[in-house]
Amino acid sequence: MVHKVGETANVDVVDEDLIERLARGELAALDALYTRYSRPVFSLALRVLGNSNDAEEVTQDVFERVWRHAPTFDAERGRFGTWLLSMTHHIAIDTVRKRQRRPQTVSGEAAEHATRVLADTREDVAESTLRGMQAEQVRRALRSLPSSQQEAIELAYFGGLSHLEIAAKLGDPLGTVKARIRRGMDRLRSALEGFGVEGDIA
Amino acid sequence: MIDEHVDDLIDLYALGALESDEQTAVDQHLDECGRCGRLLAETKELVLLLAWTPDQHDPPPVLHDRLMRRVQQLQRLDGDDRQPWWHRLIPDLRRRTPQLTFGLAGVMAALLLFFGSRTVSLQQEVASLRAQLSTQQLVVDVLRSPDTRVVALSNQTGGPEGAAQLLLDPARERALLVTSALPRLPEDQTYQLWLIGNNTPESMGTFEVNQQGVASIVVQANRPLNQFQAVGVSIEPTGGSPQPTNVILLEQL
Repeated sequence: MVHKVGETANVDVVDEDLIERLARGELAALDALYTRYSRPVFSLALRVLGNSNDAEEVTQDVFERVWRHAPTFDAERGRFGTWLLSMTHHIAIDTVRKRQRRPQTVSGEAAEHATRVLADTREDVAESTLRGMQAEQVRRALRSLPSSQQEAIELAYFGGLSHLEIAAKLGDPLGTVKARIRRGMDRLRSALEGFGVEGDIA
Repeated sequence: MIDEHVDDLIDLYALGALESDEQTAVDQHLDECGRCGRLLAETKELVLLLAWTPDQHDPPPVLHDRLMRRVQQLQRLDGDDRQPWWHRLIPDLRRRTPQLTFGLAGVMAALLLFFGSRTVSLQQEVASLRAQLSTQQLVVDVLRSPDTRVVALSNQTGGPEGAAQLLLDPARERALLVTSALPRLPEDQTYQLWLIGNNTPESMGTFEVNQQGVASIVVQANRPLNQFQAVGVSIEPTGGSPQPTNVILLEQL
């Protein structure tokens, strides 16, 4: 089944109502949010972690956090769907890095990164961009990239790897990897410009 | 600190693919470079879209049941403490909070009300001309700000008649509270104003009302008002209380 992002996006007001009800402790509201968002959350976790058990754990963790943090969720800082998937991504990447025993204190680093992402007031633009387009079109843009560029971007975003780690994994020079990511991101910018994602700024 | 623009690193930064020392250097540059900050914001929009690109799969149905059981368990453990006390007092607070547009008529009415009544400083600083000037400047500043809004406090069950409105610009630390038709209290009682942040009520001082039940009060917080969740008025023994005991007016900010 093709999942249309618009299916979740045209009910933003109801999202806020559900979060309000959840803040008052209504479990039915969590049930409704789960019905609406468990599919994209689980799918993202599955893509990052590669197995259903870990993806289920992350999905459960994400919705538990939704329940815990509903009273303090600030709708002005970003729309719920964006917030939810950003959180899913960070938790899943953290899980991957812990599993790989990456020597840095990645949870702190990831947390800092998350803070910067969530503090970005322009995030609602991404959400409204999503509202007007289907996920399938974003996927198509990603998959229209040359496979080497797509692979490098996916290893960074879904794999949680640094550019050095990507170069080591692929056995390619670091400069080549960086250039692939840069070109791939430029192509994505061009492909999605019509949806409100800007290209280079002057 | 990187002095030059960091265009070449922005994509990697937004993807989370920089090494930590590189990320720190870019962070320092971003703190001081609006241009690169804007470029990063745009790049993040792009990166956020990637979250929606994996093939879509439903989680196994058992996960839903597991989650609901777990949350029910947490709810039992937390009990009613999950909700802050002021949430319980106003069960439907966000929907009932009118986000009033502060039109010209409202500005004039508030100005008349404000200057027509005795100004009571909760810090008891409005004793000198300088303080009066400062207060008047505050009124002008608050009313002139396009971000100023009016929060009407809700009467609580069992409390007296009367009303209060808070005029605030959420980015500022000061605001105006204007009451009307509140009853005058006996000598051993006083009104006390509270701002609630992090579920902790902070006293903004005590005040009395005039014969018409009016008080116009400068609320002076120690941080911007958008860092508080609610405003309330309680009736306390003269001198005030460390915690509110008889809340009569309350509203979310």
